[in-house]
Amino acid sequence: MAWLDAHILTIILMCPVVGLGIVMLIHNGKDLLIKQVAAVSSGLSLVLSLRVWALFDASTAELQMVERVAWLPSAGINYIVGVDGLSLAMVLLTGIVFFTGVLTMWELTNRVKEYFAFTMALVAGVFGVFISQDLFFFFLFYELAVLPMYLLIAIWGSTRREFAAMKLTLFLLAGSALLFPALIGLAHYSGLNTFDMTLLAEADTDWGGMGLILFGFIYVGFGVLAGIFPFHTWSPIGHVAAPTAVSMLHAGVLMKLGAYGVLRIGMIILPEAMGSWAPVIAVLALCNILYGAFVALGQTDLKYMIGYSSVSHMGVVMLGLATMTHAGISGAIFQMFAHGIMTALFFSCVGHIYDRTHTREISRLGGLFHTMPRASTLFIIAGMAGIGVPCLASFWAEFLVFVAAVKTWPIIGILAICGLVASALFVLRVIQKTFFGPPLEAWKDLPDISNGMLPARLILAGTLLVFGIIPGLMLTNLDESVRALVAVLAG
Amino acid sequence: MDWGLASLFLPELALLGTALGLFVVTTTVGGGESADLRRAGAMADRVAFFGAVFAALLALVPAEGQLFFESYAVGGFSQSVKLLLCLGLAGSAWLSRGAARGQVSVRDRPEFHLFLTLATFGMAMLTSATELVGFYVGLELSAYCLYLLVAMTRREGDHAEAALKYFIQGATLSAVALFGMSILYGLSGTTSIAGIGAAVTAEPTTLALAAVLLSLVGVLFKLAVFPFHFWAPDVYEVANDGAASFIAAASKVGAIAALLRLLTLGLGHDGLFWILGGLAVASMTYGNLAALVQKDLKRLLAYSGVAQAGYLLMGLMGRDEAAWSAAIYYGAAYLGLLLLCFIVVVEVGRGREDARLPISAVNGLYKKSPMLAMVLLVGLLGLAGVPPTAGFTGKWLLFKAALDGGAFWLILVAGINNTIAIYYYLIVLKAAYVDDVEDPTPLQTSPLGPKLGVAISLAIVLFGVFPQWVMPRLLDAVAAIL
Repeated sequence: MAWLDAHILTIILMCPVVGLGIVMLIHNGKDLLIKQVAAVSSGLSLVLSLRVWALFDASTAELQMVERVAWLPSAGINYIVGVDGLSLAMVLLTGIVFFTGVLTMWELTNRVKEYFAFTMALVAGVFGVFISQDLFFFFLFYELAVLPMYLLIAIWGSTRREFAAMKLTLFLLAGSALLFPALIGLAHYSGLNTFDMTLLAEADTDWGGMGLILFGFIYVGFGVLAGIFPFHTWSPIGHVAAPTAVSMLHAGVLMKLGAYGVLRIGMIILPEAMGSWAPVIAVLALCNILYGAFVALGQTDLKYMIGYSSVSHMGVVMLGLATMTHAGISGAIFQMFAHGIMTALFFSCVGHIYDRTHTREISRLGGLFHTMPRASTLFIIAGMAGIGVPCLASFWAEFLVFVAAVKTWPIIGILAICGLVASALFVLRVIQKTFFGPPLEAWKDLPDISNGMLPARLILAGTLLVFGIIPGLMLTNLDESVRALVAVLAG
Repeated sequence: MDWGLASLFLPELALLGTALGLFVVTTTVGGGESADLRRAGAMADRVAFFGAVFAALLALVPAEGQLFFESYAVGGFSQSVKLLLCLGLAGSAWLSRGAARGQVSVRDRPEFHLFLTLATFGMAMLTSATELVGFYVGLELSAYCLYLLVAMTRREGDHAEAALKYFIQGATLSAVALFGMSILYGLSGTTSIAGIGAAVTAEPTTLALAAVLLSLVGVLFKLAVFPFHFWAPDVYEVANDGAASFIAAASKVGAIAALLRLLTLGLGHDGLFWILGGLAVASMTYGNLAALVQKDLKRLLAYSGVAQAGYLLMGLMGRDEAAWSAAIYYGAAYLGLLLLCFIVVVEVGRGREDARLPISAVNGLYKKSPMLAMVLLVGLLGLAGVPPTAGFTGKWLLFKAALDGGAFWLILVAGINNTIAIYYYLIVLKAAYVDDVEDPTPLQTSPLGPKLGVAISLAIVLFGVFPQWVMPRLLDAVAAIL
C-alpha cells in the first residue's frame, strides 16, 4: 500500500497506457473482452483518483504525491508528477468521465478495438497533462490528448464528421504552434535551462516584455482548446460530429486542458504578465459567455445547443481566472469540474435520445418525458446544473465567479450575469419543447435508458448533486493552493 | 599491418566485404537461365541484408582513433552514424528484396545491391573524413551509386528522366562544392577541416564565408534543402522503392553527418548561420506547402522530407553540443520513420507494375491490413511530430537548440509549419483509416513486413519517451567533433 501511494499518480497514468497495450494484443473481433479491458482500466483509474482525493492534504499548497525522476538533464527535462489543489479535482474529473464514457459506449459495434485504443491514448494524455509538473511532459501529454480526437471523430462521428475532425485538429494544433516557442521560451528566457514548472515558478525571473509575449502565446495556444472567443468555432461542430462518449470526453475534459494550461503555466509561471493580460482575458471571456448563450438560444439541434452552451460556460471559467481573486479562481476551477460532469451527462443523454430517435432536431422531438422518463430526468438535471440552480455543483461555481467578477469589473460582471439569464432561457425552452408537451406518435415505443446503461449516468448526476449539496468538499481542497496563487498574482 | 588500427575500420571492411561478395554474385549471372538469375538475385538479397546487419553490429563496438595519416577519425560520432547507415542499408536491402514490386529486373538485382552497399560505404567514409579530399571522395562515391540505383528501375520512361535530373543537378552542385573547397584550400593552405576551421575563424572574411557556403551546397543537395531539392520529388516518385527508401532514409543520415562535420568550419560566422536559418524557413515552408497538394504518396514523402530538412537546419542554429546531438537524434528518428512509411509503400504497392503509388492506394488499409495501418499511423504521426514518438522528442530538442541559438521567431515559423504539415499527414491517415474501399479483401503482405514495421514502431515510441537512453552518448560523441 505504501508503495502504491508513493507512485499513485504514475499508476493512474499507466492504467490507460497498459489498457491500450492489452487492447492492442487482443484479436480483432473479441469486442466484449476489449470492452471489459477498457472498463477495468477506466474503473481502476477512477478508484485510484478517488484514492488520490482521499490522500490529499488540504492544509498545504505544496505539490503532493510527487515523483521526480531525472530524465534528460542535459536538456533540462525531468519526469515530475504531483498534484495540488488546482489539479486534484481535474484528476477526479478525468477518472469519472473516462469510466462513464467507457460504459456509455458499451453498445458500440463498429471497430471496437480501434475505438477503445484511441480513447485510451487520449485519456492517457489527459491524465498526463493534469499531473505533469514538467513542461516537456506537459506538452507531450497535451498533444497526445489532442490527436486521437481526429480519428475518433472522423471514424465514429456523424454530421460532417471529416470536416469537423479536420477543423478541430488543425485549430488545436495551430494553438500548439504557439505553445512550442512559448514553452521552450520559458526555459530559455528564464535562464534556468529547465522545464521543471515548480522551479520556473519559484525563480525570481525578470521576464520584462518577453513575459508578455510568452503569456500571449500561452493564453492563445491553450485558449484555443478552452474555446476562447474568437477561436471557439471548432468546438460546437466538433461536439456535434463526435460520437457520444467522445463528446463527453471532449467537452468534459479536453476543453478543461486548455483552461488548465493557462492556469498552470501562464498564471503560475508568469504572474506579472497575467496582471497585464487580465482585462483582455476578461473581455474575451465575457464575449464567450454572451455570444455562446445567445447563439445557443437560436440552435435547433440539441448537440449544437449544448456545444454553444459549453462555449458560454468556458467563458465563466476564463472570467473567474481573470479576476485573480480567491473566490474567482476557486469558482473557475469548481466550474471546470462541474461543467465537465454536467456536459458529460448532457451528451450521454442526448446520445441515448439520438440513438433511438435518429434526430437531434428540437422541433421534431417532443413529449419525450412520457416515453423516456429516465433520460429526460437526467437531461433536466444537467440542464438545471447548466443554469446554475442551487443544490447542483455549478451553482457554487458560477456564484463564486460572478461575485468575484462583479467586485473586480462591475460592468463585465453584470453583463455576464445577463448571459446567465439567456442561458436559463434556452435551457428551459429546450426542456419544455423536447420533453414536455403531448407525446408524439413517432416516439411512442422507444425504449428508455436500460438498467445496464443507467449507472454511468447516475454517477454523473450523483456527482453533481453531492458537490452541489456539500461544496465544501471541493472548496476546502482548493483553499490553500488558490490562496498561494493569489498571493503570487498580487506580487 | 597494425591490427589495432584495422579494428577501427571494421564496419567499413564489412561493407567492403559485402560489396565484394555481391561482386562475386554478379559475375555468376551470365546470360543464363531464368532460374539461375532468380537464384543469384535471391543470393544477392541475402548477402546484402546480412552483410549490412553484420556491419551494423560491428559499428556497435566502441572505437576511438585516427587512420590514414590522421585524415580519418573514428569515434563516437562516426560509429553512431555508421550504425544508423548500416541499419538504413539493411532496411533498404530488405525492402528491395525479391518480389518487391518487381521494379528492379532480376538480372540487375546483384548489381543493385552492390551499388547500394557501395553507396553506404561512401557515406561511412564521409562520416569519418576529417580532410576535404577524403570528404569529397566519399560524397561522390555515394552520389554516383545513387544515380545508378535510380536508373536501375525496370520500366521504361520516367525513371530515366528522374535519374538524369538527379545526376545533372548532383554533378553540377558537387562541382560548385568542389569550387568552394578549392577556395578554402587557397585561403588556408590545408585540406584538413580543423585546420581550415582555425584559419577561417582567425580571419572571417566574406570570401571565406562564401567559400564555406559553396562547399556546403553538395551536402544541402543531398539533404534536399530548398532550393536544392528539385530532384527529390521526381526521384522518390518514379524510382524503385528500394532506391527511394535508401535515398529518403539512410542517405539523409549520411548527409546530416557530413553537414555536421562541415559546419564546424563556420562556427564562428554568425552570418553563415543566419543564411542557414533563412534556408531553413524557405525549405520548411516550401516543402509543406508543396506537400499539401500532392496526390502521390512517395512524392508527398519527398516534399515532407524537404520540410524536415528545414527543421533540422533550424536546429543547427544552436551551434553547440545540444544542437549537434539533437540533429543526430532527429536523423535517427527520421530514418526509422521513413522506413516505416516505405514498408507500407512496398507492401501496399506489391503487384503494381508502376513505381508510383497514389495516396488512394492506401484507402481502407485498416480493413485490408490493420497492422500495416498502424505502422503507417506511427510513421506519419512521427513525421508530423506527434508524441509519444521520437519525431516529437527530436523536434522538441531541435527547437530548443534553435531557441538557445537565439532564433525565437524561427521556431514560431517552424511551429506554424508543423501545423500545416499535420494537414497532409492526416489526409493520408484519413485514407487509411476513414475512407472505405470497394474491395476489402485482406492485403497479401509478406510474412515479416508488418511485424518488422511494428517492431520499428515500438522502438520509435520507446526512444521517443526515453531519449535518455541515447542522448548522453550522442552528446559525448559530438563533443569530440565540435
